[in-house]
This record gives sequence, structure tokens and C-alpha cells, in this order.
Amino acid sequence: MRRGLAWLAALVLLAGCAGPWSARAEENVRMGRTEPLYSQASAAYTLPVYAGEPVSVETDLSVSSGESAEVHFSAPEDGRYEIWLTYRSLTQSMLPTELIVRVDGELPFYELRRVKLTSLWVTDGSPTPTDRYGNEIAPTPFSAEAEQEVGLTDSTARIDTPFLFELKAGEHTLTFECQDSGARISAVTLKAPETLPAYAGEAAQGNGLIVIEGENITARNKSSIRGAGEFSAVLTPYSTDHRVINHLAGASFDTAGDRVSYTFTAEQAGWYNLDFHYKQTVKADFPVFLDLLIDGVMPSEAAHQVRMDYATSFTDRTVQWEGKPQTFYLSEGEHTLTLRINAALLTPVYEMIDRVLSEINSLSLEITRLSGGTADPYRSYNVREYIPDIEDRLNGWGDDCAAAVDYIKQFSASGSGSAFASLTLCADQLHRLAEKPEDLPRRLSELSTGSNSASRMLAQQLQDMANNDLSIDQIIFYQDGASLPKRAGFLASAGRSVERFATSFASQDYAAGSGKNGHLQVWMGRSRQYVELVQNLIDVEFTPATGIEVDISLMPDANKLVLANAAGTAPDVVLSLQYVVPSYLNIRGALYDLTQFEDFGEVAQRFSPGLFIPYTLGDGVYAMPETVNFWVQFYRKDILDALSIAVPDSLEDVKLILPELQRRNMNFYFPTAGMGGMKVFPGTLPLILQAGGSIYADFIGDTTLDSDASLKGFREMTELFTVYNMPTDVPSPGFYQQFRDGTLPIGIADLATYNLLLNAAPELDSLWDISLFPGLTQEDGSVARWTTGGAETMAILSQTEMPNEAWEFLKWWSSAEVQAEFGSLLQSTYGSEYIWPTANTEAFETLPLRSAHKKVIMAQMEWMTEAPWVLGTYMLERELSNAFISVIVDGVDARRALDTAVKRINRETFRKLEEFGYYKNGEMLKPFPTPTMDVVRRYIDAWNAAHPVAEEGEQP
Amino acid sequence: MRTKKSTPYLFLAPYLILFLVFIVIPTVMAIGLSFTNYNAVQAPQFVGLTNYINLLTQDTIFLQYVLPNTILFAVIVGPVGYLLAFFLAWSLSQLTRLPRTILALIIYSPSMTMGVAMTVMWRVVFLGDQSGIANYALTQLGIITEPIVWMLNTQYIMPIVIIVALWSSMGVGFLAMLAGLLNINAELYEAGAIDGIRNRIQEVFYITIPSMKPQMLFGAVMSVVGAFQAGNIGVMLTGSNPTPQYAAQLMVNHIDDYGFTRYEMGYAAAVSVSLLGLIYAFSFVARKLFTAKDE
Repeated sequence: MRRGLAWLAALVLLAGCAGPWSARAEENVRMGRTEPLYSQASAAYTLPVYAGEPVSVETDLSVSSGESAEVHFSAPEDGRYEIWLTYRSLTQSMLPTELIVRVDGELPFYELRRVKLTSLWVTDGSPTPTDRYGNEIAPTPFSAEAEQEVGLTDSTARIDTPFLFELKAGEHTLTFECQDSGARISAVTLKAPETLPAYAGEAAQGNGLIVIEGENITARNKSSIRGAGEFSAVLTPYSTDHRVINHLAGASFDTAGDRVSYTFTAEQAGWYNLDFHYKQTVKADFPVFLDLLIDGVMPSEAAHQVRMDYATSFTDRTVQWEGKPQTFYLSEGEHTLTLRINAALLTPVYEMIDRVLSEINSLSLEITRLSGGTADPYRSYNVREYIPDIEDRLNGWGDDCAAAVDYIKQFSASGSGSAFASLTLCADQLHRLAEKPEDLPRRLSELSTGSNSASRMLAQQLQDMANNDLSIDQIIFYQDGASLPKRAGFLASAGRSVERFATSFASQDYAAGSGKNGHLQVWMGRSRQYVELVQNLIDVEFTPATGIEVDISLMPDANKLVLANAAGTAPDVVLSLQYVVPSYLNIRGALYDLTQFEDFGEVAQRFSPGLFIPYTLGDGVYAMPETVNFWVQFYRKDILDALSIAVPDSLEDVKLILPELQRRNMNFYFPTAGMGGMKVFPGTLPLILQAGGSIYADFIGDTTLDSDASLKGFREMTELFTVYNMPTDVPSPGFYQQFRDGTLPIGIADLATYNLLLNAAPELDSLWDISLFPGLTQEDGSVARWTTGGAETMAILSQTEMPNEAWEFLKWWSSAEVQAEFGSLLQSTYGSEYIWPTANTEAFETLPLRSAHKKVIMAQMEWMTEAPWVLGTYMLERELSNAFISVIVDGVDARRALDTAVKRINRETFRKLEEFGYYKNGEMLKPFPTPTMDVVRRYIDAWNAAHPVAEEGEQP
Repeated sequence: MRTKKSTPYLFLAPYLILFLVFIVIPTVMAIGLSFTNYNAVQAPQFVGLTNYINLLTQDTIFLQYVLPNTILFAVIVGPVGYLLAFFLAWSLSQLTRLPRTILALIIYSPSMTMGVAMTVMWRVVFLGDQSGIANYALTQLGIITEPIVWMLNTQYIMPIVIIVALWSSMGVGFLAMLAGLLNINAELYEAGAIDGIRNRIQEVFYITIPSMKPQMLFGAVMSVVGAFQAGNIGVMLTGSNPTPQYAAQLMVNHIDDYGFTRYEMGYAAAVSVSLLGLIYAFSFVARKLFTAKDE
């Protein structure tokens, strides 16, 4: 009965959504779609649903990225069919195969633009590997070669059944265009939609008990779904001294569409109850829904969308149906249980929020057009005259939000639905705004632009809705006569915690200084997750091959390195050191000169030569780049298309599109706006470099910040703010948030923003893209796009007693194979947010990023360089930032500001030169030339000259 | 019965040892380091008074920004904060017990919650775009039309830092003065009333202040030391060290800058010794004012 009401409410909501067709079409255009959504297209189906036998067509198509293939098939009668594909993945890539599927050359609905064929990821069943400290590590899965038969479904899993296609009887063509990875399709089948049998479970008599451990996953459809270890006494297995994997990690099993399978054996045939020992903490007072499949088939309608209610700590809950425990029939023998997260019940809410968000944004645009940008607070606008239905619109949205909350409340255990509290707040806010529409121009920040606006709350709700984290410790099939395993009580847990506390005083894993003598000591400036993976990689690959034992430790911050150096307890190698730190250490003799190694010239070729500049001193190079940071232009395809603006290629193009943007209260984001009080080099230098300027002349004591070229670049940059009115300060959450709600639809940003948009902006899924940095047009018409790219480095410390071993390690770590392996291992273990932007150009090409984006990033990497970091450069960065701020905020003239800066910079440089013995009483004792790429190039050329690459057919 | 001479020393020993190890010895080491060039990586090199000479003649940032900022900050936050603390303590001493306790707790809490208050409240108030509370309120009142970027504008940073410092200056000194006020013998007020004191102000100057000189001295010293040590506020508000155009750069930030950003520990030690001298001078003045004659 309740379920029926639920569907009724859903239908009502959907019906409310499916208004007149023209309004839908308009909204689709506004959202950047040229095809209707599946929900709209299928609402217009007229043919009957096919109810016959499956019709199969054998084929042997292989599609890889960028290729297309087609298959012909014939439909036996007019009707609606599901289309199923039998396929196998061609690559081991963790990215699923992405296809655009066309029926008879056309896209019947929008979702066919992003069809994903996932692989099955399995482990080989060997015992759980442990790291060197005895903690268990989740095994790395690999893609199984097995074939799967899967129906074409929505890749976002908002619709939980396969698509229905309306086909007339006769011949049809199915075209596949591959966007990423590759697959081999061996059959295409037309099927009738599956109908679930009614629930017919019987009482579970007997005393059979089957316990499945949640972390013993047989197969999963995303490589990052894994087990994890938690020190909680209620979980099994449990150990006080080491971390053992004891539950399925909710952080990895969290998205709609995720599937895990478990194999188990039933000794006795019969009906069993099903109990989960689980934890669900993401949806306050709202369940996460699971589909249960036994042996690949859903046994009845009761196994569809099983509720996993909110549970803040691990609890035992038996699966229910209509108030009684739900039972499943298991015959004797081996079976598979598959769990699939199903969020389809929230789809009406999702679509409602999506629609209301875009409508609010267009109303917001209309109002800014009415009030002309900034609303005069002393004027009241006769909004009703220009937008007569504004009250109805606002009230309508408020009612939609309230209806969604009512819909949600029926699923929450206590009837409060606090996971969706922001919808209630939003409804109130919209109703309040509807009471006085004349104030709307002045109160626009409550509607769409402010941090507490209705649209921000809705966008945040969308993002929160996508979280379906479910942690499972055990899954238990039991009959009425058997009893569930006892869980540790309060006293036992307390006792374990005390034990745990005591062991924490024993040796710490990965703590600096805990390594053994004779081992290579490496400090890594990253979090524990990275360090564990690297240590494992070393123990499995490096140490057996070279015999060198390596201990990796966590390095909390770079200052510890300096202090340890002073105390004589410095490590041999340091990894992931921020790129400005080597320049402080090399002048003080703390780093080892890498050019002393014979094959430096060979290793240096792995990286872009410009990246070596900050680590060069005289004729020596003291560090190598490990990771890079790229700066590209991000833009909203839908907004730019709606405004008919072309994507700008150069800074001049950007200035041309600014009037269009600013007229609608939008703008262009330049990265210095997000940098707070200190504008670092990546923000201030690009335009100076692109204008042909530089920061030092041949000698570092003479800064060329005030040369004509530098001044020109500096002026271009400051004019963006003083004349062209780009925002000077975009405080956190910054560009990412304003890109999402459309107030900054275009801007320049770096890897961090790319990661956020890719992983934390679900509603923008295919609405944005990246392009090259819009640089300054040169005299010959080309566009220069120089940016800085340094991020982290690796170096050897001079106090080391094992320089050759340290160099072997660095050579191994910086090699293309290892960097590529680490990059994909990181992403496949922890998820797509863990991008490893390796500096090794060859390895970067193989990273599991989206190919379209990777092309742009690699093109931008050709313009990647770095500024010299020498004595006193910190002063240069600081004074450049001060000069920049004084021009754009205090209104000082650019040349004056730079003159003051130059005086201070030169003074500081000479102070430093004197401190290190290069300069005394007006005379240079030793030369200090500005480091350039030439130093590294010399070593590379020398190596290439001594080791010419063999031509085909010649003697090596 | 004569106690052994060693027992008092035994009782004092734990405190003396800790004081020696953590306060006296580091201070002596700092004074020693201030005569050297030490970059934390190589051994210190003795250079005599060069650091001090550089401080007074070569360091333009110090003379142009740091010293004036520090003096300005100390003169405003020190005495004004002190007077504010005294005034508030005096007002609270007029109340009955329960409201007094509650209000004292409310007034004292900002000095305890400095870090949290900073991120949660002050940064949000002074955000640079129209969503900041200050910008929003001023726009509503019509005083400004475009949001002011508070944390980049050099003329606003220092006043904001002073306001925040004043807000959090009701610390231990305030509590001490409150305690002192409550312990004044009530008979003195009655005697004064008989002797011809006409109004409350005279009462304060002739009876209250002289009776609580020790607490006033304590409050003054705490106020001075706190004013000179409060370099953190500017850094936390603007998010960068040093603050743009050195607008909120105080001596403590300067020491930080030289010590940890420029690796010139010897010079930083010299600056910190100068700061010590400055604080000592100010507290000397305070002592002269507040020491009772018979001590």
C-alpha cells in the first residue's frame, strides 16, 4: 500500500515535470541538450511492450577509443524492446568503456550519449597481502576476461531498469562510437522487459547458518570498491596490533549502480532469513536502497530496493518485507549473492531539483537584465509588469520542494527526512521571496547568487544525494533455529580500546626515524594512503630487483626536514617536496648534486627541461620534478552556447566576450582572485612571461621586473581588474562553486579545480570542458601560453652515506613504467579523485584520465616552464604580489609599484649574495648567473652525443 | 622545631627546573645566537653586533612598517585594552553575583577561543565579496555600492586587526582586576563618603585604584606582553605571512619571517632580543606607576 502511494506520488511529480512539449524542448536547449531526456522520450511511446522471446544477433565488433562500428538486426514486431549487449572489455584500464549509441543513425534520447560498459574486477584469491608492518592491504583487483551480458542502462543509474526502445518491425542499425577504453561486443539481443515475480517466501525453518564476510568480495564492477580495516571491536575479524581488513568500505561502495558479488555455499537447502551487519551514515534518517540478486536474478519484487536504514554504528538488521523478515530460497550448493546500490526512488527528486535549478538560474538572468546588473537599493522595481507570473513561479518552485519533502518522508524511519532538510529551507525561502517580488532585484542573493541562496542549497542537495555510502561487515543467511553471532558488548569494546591505546605507544608505522640502519631512508611528503602504496610497490618491485632495502616514512612538513638536517638525522632521499624548498636547501649545501651521476643526462630527458630551472644552481642540478600542476581554461559549454559566445583562444578574445558576460552579472575568473593575500608566481607570472618579460637578467642581482616587456605583461594583468572589472577576490569555496551556479562560467584554474569539477559536481556532468590557456597574442599572430608548472620534487640529501643506492632509487621511481603504474594503481585503489599528475611526460600520456581532457592538458604541458628560484626569489614573489595588490586595490600606478618592488628585491638579493660569500663591499667575488634550461640541456646533449640512439638495422 | 634548609628548595625544584629549561636557557641561547649568523642548516658563525647594526640601519621593512605598526598596535591595544578591561571589570563589580559571573564568562571567552573564533567568525565578517557580513551590512545601509576587499586593502587591514585584538584582549588581566575590585574593603568607601568624596569618579581615583595596585600592575604587564605578542591575528585573517604590503606586520611576524622563511635565525634572534628589551621597557613604566610605595 505504501509502495503504491510512493509510485503514485512519483508519477504525480513526473507528470508535473512533463509539461507542454515546447517548454521541455526549451529547457533542454537551455541545459545544452539537443535530445529529450529518456523520461520525456519514453513518456511519448505508443507501441505495446514486447512480450516474446529474446532475439539475438551474433556479431564480432571491436571498438576502441575514437572508433565506430555498427551492427544490423531485425525486430520481429512493432513494440518496445530492451537492448542487451554481450561484451568483454579490451583493456585493463580502470575507466569503463564509454559509447555513444545510435539507433538508425539517431539518438532517441540524451542518455545514449554516455553509455558505460563496466568490466568485472576480481582478485585471484591468494591470501590478503600485508605491508611490511603486518597491516593487511586490500588486494588490487584486475579486470576479468569474462563476458558479460548487460542491458543498455543509464550510466548514472537514475533509472534502474534497462532502456526501452521503440522499434517498428523490420531492419534496424545500431551504431557504437567509442569515446574511451574499448570493448569487444559479441552479441546484441532484443529482450522483453523483465517482470518481477510476486513475493512468495515461506517461513525459514531449520537451523542453517551461512556467514559471508563483507570484505571477501568475489567480483565488483568498479575497481575502487574494496575492503578496509577499522579498529572497532564489533567487527570481525579484529586484531589489536595490526590493521586487518574487516569490512566493505562505504567510502568506496557509495554510488548508485555499484555492484559487489559474493560466492557462498549452502549446506542445507531451504528458506533463509537475511541479516546485514552494516553501517550507513551518509543519509540522516533516510535509507540507502539495495537490489539483491541471487545467482544473478532478482528472486522477487521484495528484493528490489531493499531498505538499509540510517545506522550510525554497525548494527544487525534483518531484511524485511511487509513487516516480517524476508526469506530467500537457497538450494544446496554454491550460490552468488549480488548487491547493487539503487537510488532510482530518488530520481523524481533529482529531476525536480535539476529542473528548478535551471529555472531559477534563468529567472535570475531575467532579473539582472531588468535591474541592469547591480540593483539600486533605494528603488523598488515593478517586477510584475515585466515578469507577470513571477509569484506563481516562485510559489510553484516552493510547492515543488515541499512536495518532494513529503515524498521523501514516507521512506524515512522516523518520518522526518532530515537528510533533505535543505529542501524545506529552500521551500520557505522561495515562498518568502514570492511575498514581495518588488524586492527581488535587491534580494537576488537569496535566490541565486549568495552562499545561502536557494540555488546553492539545491546544488548542495544534489551533491549530497549522490552519496550512498554503505559499509558492510557481515552478511548472514540464517534460519529461525540458528542464532546470529554475538557482537562484542560495551565492556569488551572498552577493553579493546584500552589495548589499542597501549599498542599505539609501541613502534609507529611509517614514522620518521623508525627505519633501520643500512636501509635507504626515504621521507615522503604525502598522506599515509600514498606512502603505503609506494612502500608496497618498492617491496614488491624495487627491492627484489636491486637488493636495496628502502624504508619510507611520512614527512609531516618540510620544516622537519630542515631541523632534522641540523640535527644530523636527515634521510637519504626526500620525495614530494614542494618545489620551492630545494632552492633553500641547495645553496646551503643540504642537497646532493645530481649531475655527478653519470647517467643524469639520460634521466633528465624524462621531464620537460623548463621544470628543472628552480633546482639549478651554477652548473649543478639538485632535484628532479615529480609532479606537475597544469593551468587551463575551464568553460561552461551550455552557458556559452546559450549566449552564443565562442570559446576564447587568446586574452584579446577574452576581453571581447566580457561585455556579454558582465551585462548578465557573470564574469571571467583569473586565478589571482583565489589566492588571498599572497599572489604566488603561478598567478602573477604567466602574463609576464607571455609578454616576453622575465624576472631576472643574466645576473640575479639585476631583476628585470621593470623592463618594458615585463611591465607590458604586468600592465595587461592589472588592467584585467582595474579596467575590465574581473573579480579581484573570490573567497572560498571559490571558482568551483561559482562555476557550478553559473556566475563565473569561464575562467583559468589548475588541477585542484579540475579534480573538484570532475568528482564533486555531478549536475555539471557533461556541461563543461577545458581548453588551452588564453594567452597574449604575439606580433606574428601566434598565441603564447606560457604558464608555470612546478608542483612537487624529489631529491637526495647531501648527508647521505648511500648516494649510489639513492640514485638507483630515484631512477627507478622517476621511470615511466613505475610512474604510470603508480598513477593507475592510485586511481584504481582509491577512486578517481586521486589523480597523480606525474612530471614524466611519457607516463602522463598513459594516465587514466578522460582522453579528450588529456589531449588538452598535454598540449598545455608544452607551454609549461618555471621561473628561476635563487637567493632572494621569495622576496621577488612577495614584492610582485604586493605591487600587484597595490595597483588593483590601492590604485597605485603600475610603473611606480614595480619600481618600489625592484628596489626592495635587488636590496634583498644583494644581502643574500653577501651572506653566502658571493659579494662583498661592492665587488662580486664569484659569479652568480641566472639559471636557465641550458644547464640541463647541456647534460642531456652530452649524454645523447655519447650514447647515440641506434638506427634500425645498425649495430647497437 | 627548625625546618631543614633544603625543604623549601625541594618544593620549589620542579618549577625551578622547568622554568630554567624552558624559559631561562632558551632566552640565554637566543641572546647568544643573536650575535651569530645561523641558517639552521650549517653551524652558526660569530659576527658580533652586525645583526643589531643591520636591524637599525639596513632593515627598511623593519623601520618603515614593522616598528611603526608594532608601536601603533601596542599603544592602542595596550592602554585602550587595559582601560576597557578595567572599565568592564569595574562595571561588573557593581552587579550582583549571578549576572556578574555569567557576564564575566562571556567577556572572557574571546581570549580563549582565538583560533576557532577567527576562522568561524571574523573571516566570514570580513570576506572580500558581497557575501561577507560587513560588506552586506554596509551595502544594505547604502554606505557602499561595491564590496570592499578588506583583506587586500592596506588601509583597512591594520584597523581590523586592532579591532579583533581589542575584542580578544579581555584575558587574564581582566579577571585579576575583577578579583581585585571585589576584594576592596567596603569600609574604605564608607570612610571616604564621610570624608567628603562627592561622586563615583573621585571614588575610583582615590580609593579603588590605590587599593588594587598589585592587580593593576599584573593587568598592565599582561596587557603589554599580550599586545606585543599578538602577531598571529593578521596572518590568520589575511591568510598570508607577511600580510600584503606589510600592513599588519608586527615584530613577531618579522621574527617569524626571518627565522622560518628566510632561514636567518641569527637575525631573528636579534630582533626577538630587541622585542624583549621593548617589552621590558614598557613594563618598567608600568611598574613605576603601580608599585605601592611600601613594597
